[in-house]
Amino acid sequence: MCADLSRTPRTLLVCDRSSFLDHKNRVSSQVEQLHFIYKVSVLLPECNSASSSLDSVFNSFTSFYLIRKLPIYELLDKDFLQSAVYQGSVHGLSFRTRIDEDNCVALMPNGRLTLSLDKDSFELLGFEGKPSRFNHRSCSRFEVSVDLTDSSMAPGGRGYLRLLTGLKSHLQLQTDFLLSHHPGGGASLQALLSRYDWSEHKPKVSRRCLSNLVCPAPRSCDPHSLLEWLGAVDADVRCENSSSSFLSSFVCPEANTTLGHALSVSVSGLLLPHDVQRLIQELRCYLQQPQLESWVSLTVHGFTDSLVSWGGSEHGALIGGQDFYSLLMFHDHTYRLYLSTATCHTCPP
Amino acid sequence: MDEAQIYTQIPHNLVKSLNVKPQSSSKAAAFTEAFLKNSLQKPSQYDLKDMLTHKAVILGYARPKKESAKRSSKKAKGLNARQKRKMKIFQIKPEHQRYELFLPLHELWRQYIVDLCGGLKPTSNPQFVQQKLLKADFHGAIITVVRSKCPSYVGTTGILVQEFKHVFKIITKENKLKVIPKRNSVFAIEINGFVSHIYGSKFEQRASERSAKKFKVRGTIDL
Amino acid sequence: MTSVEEAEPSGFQRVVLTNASPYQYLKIRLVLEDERSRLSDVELKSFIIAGLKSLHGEVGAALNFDVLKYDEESLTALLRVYSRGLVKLWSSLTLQGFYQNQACAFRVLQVSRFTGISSLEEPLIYLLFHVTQKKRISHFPHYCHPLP
Repeated sequence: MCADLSRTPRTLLVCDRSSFLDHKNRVSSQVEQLHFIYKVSVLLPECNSASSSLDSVFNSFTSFYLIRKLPIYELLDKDFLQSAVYQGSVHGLSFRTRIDEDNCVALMPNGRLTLSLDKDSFELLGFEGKPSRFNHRSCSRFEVSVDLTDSSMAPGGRGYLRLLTGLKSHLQLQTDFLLSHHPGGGASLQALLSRYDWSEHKPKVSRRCLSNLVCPAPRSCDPHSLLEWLGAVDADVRCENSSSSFLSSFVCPEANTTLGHALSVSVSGLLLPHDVQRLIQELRCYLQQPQLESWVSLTVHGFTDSLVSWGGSEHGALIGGQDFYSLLMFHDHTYRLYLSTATCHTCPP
Repeated sequence: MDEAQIYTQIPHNLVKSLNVKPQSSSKAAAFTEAFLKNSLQKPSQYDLKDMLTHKAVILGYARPKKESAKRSSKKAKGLNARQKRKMKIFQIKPEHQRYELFLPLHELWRQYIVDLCGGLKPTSNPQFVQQKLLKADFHGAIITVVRSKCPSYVGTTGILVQEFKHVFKIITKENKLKVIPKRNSVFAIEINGFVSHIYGSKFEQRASERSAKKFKVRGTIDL
Repeated sequence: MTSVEEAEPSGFQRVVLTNASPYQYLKIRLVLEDERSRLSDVELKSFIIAGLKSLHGEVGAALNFDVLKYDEESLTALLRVYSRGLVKLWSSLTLQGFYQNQACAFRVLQVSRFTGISSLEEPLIYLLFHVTQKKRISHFPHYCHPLP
């Protein structure tokens, strides 16, 4: 029994070290792979206030829409497919649904619609799916995944009609839904939005000025300790503890320097990978300015209850973890990219 | 009537009018003996003299032996399963697999259920209706698969043509004969606004055996 | 603990670390019967240690864990524990039923394997829409049994 108790699940952390100048770097493709982002946080050392160009990027994240009680069959609407799914990329995710207990829906930018259903709903739907990878003992969850751009899913096709009747008459699935579209924005979604109760939301930007921050050496620090420290800074956890204090023995790992100032900016909402790309470009420009500390860090978190992980692979919350990556950029165009994923998931790209 | 009167001579005045000849008593006794000999089936078994002293004698009639029982068992034998299979008795010929051919059967079934449930008004007690339906015959009902472990069965609807122990055979509006296993599916039956759900896994009986079966009440049923 | 290293002459290097994370992080909320009562951070930690002791004995009580952050208003705390102690800590939290003679329960809101604390922040999007967060049943971890 004791052996079982100390057992922990497999964990995976991928650390990439390369340079933006290297033609083999895959940062942009890796950024594209994480579809549902809820938070981006940036740590700018030795910085009091972000430059205006950086600020404008923070403020210009694409806004997103929340539709209340959207019947999921509306996503198969012919006009919606024509105006949004076939043109550009749609990011859609059911909101306030728990991956371990509710039915979740995601619409990915490549036109793939994924439903994660409990057993009863799956049996009602009557559409081909496969058992979830995160079933424990008995088969209690199923994943249905269809490519809406496929010929069989074209309006009027067999698969299309079957899914439509399934969602319309057998399983009347309704959830709150977050939706955003690139590059069309709200215009291409307007037809769908107008039929339901919807609201537009701007991603929320919050800035925090930090002073006297004890900081490890980013290049030499152990990845786990570094990530822990970055997380602690973001979550505003004090690290002025001693190893003997009762409450917490957390200290800054391999304390190296003390930063006089630092700026921590975070953006949250349903964010698009495209905007993250722009932010990375802007941060690279920012790094070219002469300054004391020559690094910045960018951490991107996926939705905890998102049903897809890296790429299109399945995501399960019960067995822990969120998907996130941390990008550490240096003055000389080199970068460190730490990609993480929850247990049992496939290796990030 | 007196016995003596039977043995009396026929009066003379009647002899003339009836045109019969009176017999002497000895002749009559010989006749009776000969008659008995002919009428009795196995005269050697009986002592005729002895029999005549008794009153009850069965003449010209033999009690039927138990041949009829033999005959009925022969009838029940009929065809065995192999012969039935060979003759395809329970298979519906492709030319008869038409939805409209079975519509009258459906109408008949509706009447049967309405009769069974005593009118089936909207005010009827659903539990009472369900109790009746449990024991009823479903041939001719329109059934729909509402839930199934196998997604491709879900939504299939048609008239129930044949019911076997483990499968339903239904004919769809597209004139397709479909075989649907009872196990791992839930069926819905609609009649006059009453929709009943049948858990196929609990229904794996022949229709005739089901009528005698007692169903247990369960809180929740999983597929 | 293993690591796979792929080094290429072009300067691209990829290191895959498996099972190398030393810590696990839990975000928990204490739900008390009397919603007005409050605990200090020290009281909370003592309470958790008492729970560990009652379930796992003296060895359990000696388990090291840190209260990284504690919000007295919402009774929400961030805990850090060595990976090997996670199951012990989680199980003792789940079975903790009474605080000073009033019924209580720990809701395990999030558990993070090794991602660092940042991902344990309250998903801001929930705050954004002023949603009252639905209480999540704290699931006992499944991996007490060897996964196939």
